[in-house]
Amino acid sequence: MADALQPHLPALLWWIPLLPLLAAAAIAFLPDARGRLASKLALGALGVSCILALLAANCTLSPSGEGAFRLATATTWFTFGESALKVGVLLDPMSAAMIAMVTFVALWIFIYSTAYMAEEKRFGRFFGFLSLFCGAMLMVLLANSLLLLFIAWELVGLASYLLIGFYFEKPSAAAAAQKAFITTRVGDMAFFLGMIWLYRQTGTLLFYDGGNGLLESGALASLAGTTTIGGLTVSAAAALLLLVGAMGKSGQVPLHTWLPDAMEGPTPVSALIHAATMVAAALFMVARTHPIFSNGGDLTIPLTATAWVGGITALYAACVAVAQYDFKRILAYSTISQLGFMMVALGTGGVGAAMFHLIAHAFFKALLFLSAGSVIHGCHGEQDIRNMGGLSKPLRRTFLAYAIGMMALSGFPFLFSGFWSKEAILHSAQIWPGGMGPFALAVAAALLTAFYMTRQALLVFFGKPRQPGVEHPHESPAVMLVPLYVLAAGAVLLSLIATPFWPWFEKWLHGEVAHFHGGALGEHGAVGLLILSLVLVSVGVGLGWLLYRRVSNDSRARDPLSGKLGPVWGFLERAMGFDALYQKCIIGPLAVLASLIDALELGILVPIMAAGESVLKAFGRLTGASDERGINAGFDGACRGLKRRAADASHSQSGRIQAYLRTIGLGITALLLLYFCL
Amino acid sequence: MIALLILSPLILLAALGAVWKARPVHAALLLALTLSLGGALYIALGAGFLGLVQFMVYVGAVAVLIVFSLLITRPRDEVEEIARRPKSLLPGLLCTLPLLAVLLYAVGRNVPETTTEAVELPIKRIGELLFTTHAPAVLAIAILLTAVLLGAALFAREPSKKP
Amino acid sequence: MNPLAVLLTLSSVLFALGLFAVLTRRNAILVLVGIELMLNAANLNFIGFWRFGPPDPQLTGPMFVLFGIAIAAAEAAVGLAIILMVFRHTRSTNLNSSDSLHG
Repeated sequence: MADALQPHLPALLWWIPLLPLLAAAAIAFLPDARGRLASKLALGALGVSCILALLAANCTLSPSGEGAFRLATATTWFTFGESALKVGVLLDPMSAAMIAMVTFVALWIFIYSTAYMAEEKRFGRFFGFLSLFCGAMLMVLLANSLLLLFIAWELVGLASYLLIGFYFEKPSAAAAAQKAFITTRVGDMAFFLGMIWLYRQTGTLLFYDGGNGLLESGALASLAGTTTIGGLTVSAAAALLLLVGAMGKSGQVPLHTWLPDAMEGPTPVSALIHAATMVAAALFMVARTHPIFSNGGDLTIPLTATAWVGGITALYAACVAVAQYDFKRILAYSTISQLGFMMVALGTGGVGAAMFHLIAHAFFKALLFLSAGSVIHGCHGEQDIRNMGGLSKPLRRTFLAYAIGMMALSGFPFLFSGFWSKEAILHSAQIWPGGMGPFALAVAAALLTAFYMTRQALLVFFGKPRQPGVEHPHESPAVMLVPLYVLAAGAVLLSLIATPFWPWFEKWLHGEVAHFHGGALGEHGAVGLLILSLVLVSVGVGLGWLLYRRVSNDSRARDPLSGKLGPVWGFLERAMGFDALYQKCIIGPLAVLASLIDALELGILVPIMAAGESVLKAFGRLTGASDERGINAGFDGACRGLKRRAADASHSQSGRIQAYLRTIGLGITALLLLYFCL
Repeated sequence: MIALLILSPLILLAALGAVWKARPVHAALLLALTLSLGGALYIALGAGFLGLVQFMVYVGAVAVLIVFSLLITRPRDEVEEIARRPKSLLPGLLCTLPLLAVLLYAVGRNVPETTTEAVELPIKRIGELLFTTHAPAVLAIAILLTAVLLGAALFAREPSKKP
Repeated sequence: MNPLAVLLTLSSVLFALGLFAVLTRRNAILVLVGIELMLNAANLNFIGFWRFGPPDPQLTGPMFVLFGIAIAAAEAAVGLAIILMVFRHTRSTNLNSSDSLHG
């Protein structure tokens, strides 16, 4: 079947992102009342896209000759002068895996949303935005041109803005949407600069173009050959700029402040965008442009930067997550931390590990967010875990799904994909020639991950309910539970393809055949790492259980850890003061500047306008007056004069007959004279 | 000719009196005199019929009519006529004298040669002409006189008392 | 002396006198007197030209005079009737008092 499909593949690939985009456009024209129709359109489009994506992925399973399967198309978009901008689609195992994951996970989140958002007035619009997002995301994944990727990247940002600010009547939601957009904008600017630099240097933005593409040897050589400011090669400089772009979109430190606030959006949005896909898009972009990053070896400056940024982010976010109380916020910081892990993998050369962790993380993070949605929904909107407790019995099914997700994230051994993916990342960090810094950071973060997830699980699902509102929560309907189970199954089953025993995924990415070898653990450091992972999970879970197993029934009691950490707890709770820092150093001065300009405008522009206005008014009065006094008065005066003279003249009509007769007599005399003269 | 020379000054004097006299009745009577002298002049000139017609119509009807109307209206400002006369004199003279001058000038310049044999006015011929050539005019005059009669009668009626 | 000239002079003077009366007299009836004088003067002219001019079988002169006399009579009657009507309204035959059509 793959052969039969092959000739149609390029067109098919364009349809994958196009269908959701068309659905979004169609939904835009529907009124709010037709929400059900909108959701059906969205689901239908995405469903077909999913099938097409799976078919496309199927085609990539059979490698074509040497290297991985790759299908790249390029068509001219528009020409200017002699050069032309080209765009196209690219299908290789990496993008195939991504589109399969995105369509699959998104489909189940859509199904979940039909029940979760059922009471929402703007139900239809929600699905319209979701479809827009999916279409744009798929475009990012399938783009063969950095430009097309960027355009779709921006669209994804737009969809994210629209969805975070979905409850725009809430000022906090509107502010969060703005914050997300502006913070990622900083990254996007760097992305754009990097893109332009690459274009200027190589003359193309296509990834693969039959040898002339950006990621192919010719362009890479030219990029490496040219040095620029600071002694960096162009490829290093451009890659660093691209990295900044990815940092914005994926919430790496220091451009991470928007992600926790983005939890203002509806929970399905948090699940889809800010856990599984959009944030992963940034990492995908780094993975896609990895040849530029690694242009020159394994220890190029961009790669080192990537690894360190990832490590710092992972540890930072894990620390902050320990001290959070909001259910979704804990998960948000957890996402930031996991993204940091992926960055570490990308920087240390484990591109396959990073991609696999990305896919696995998508499944279990989405699962965690959706179950969070169920819990919050069941507790009638309660989001503070200090107020929850003992929910494992009433919310049994949700708890089951949550548990699987939590175990996957924490890295419970063997059964869960999270364990294997994290282990792969640690492995690549361990063998990195650039030092053990990122490795150490990742290890510490992994420990903390297990710890805070245990804390969350204990506080929410165990013990006794701490607030009256959570005593009788209602379980979610089947429409919401089935997606949970599917995602949970995925989280477990994915582990099958990425164990060291059968590294199918890794091999598939490189177009090689995977062989089962049972002695994988025999390779150097592998056993040690396995034991380390087990230790990390045990210690983390154990610490969590110790501290939180006997948590009090008072929701206002102090967290047991806060007593031990003292002032550090408050520091962690405030996310280490990043928001305050930005407020003071950036937003504050900007606000001052804005009010300065405003005052300037009032002081300068407004008087100028007022002066202009008064000049015009004076001119108007002048013309009016000249019209009144000059023209009208002159005319009126003339008329009056005429009237007076007429009045005077009419006095000659005395009414006395003899006067008239005299005149007639004189007239006749004159006529007679005339007669005689002529 | 002789009759002409005798009658002319008389006519002039009478006319002057008719025009100048303050008392209206006197003026009216002098008009009657003027008209009678005029009729006499017509007879002297050979137009006997016309002279008689002048007497009958002008003197007998028009002048009498004028006198009657003077009697009806009884103008009471005869004295005022004398008092206010100088004011309106000048404009009247100013308008009349030029005309007189022009007329006399015209007469002086253009008087043609005359035949002096006297011709009697043939009355029969007048009758013929009246009823053949000028018959329409006669009819018109008749209608006019009828209209005048009716109009005068209408005018002379007492205004009808309105309830 | 040319008899026609004499006659014409006479008629001219009579006409002027009549005009003078029309323009000057305050009493409306006396104005009518002046009008009659003027008409009479014109008639005199016609007679004169008939008598002293070339013979005319059509008798234009006398015909004109005849009709003139008739018309003058009719006109005098109408004029006096009007004067009497105005007299009824204003109780005066003063021409100057009926100047209500002034401007």
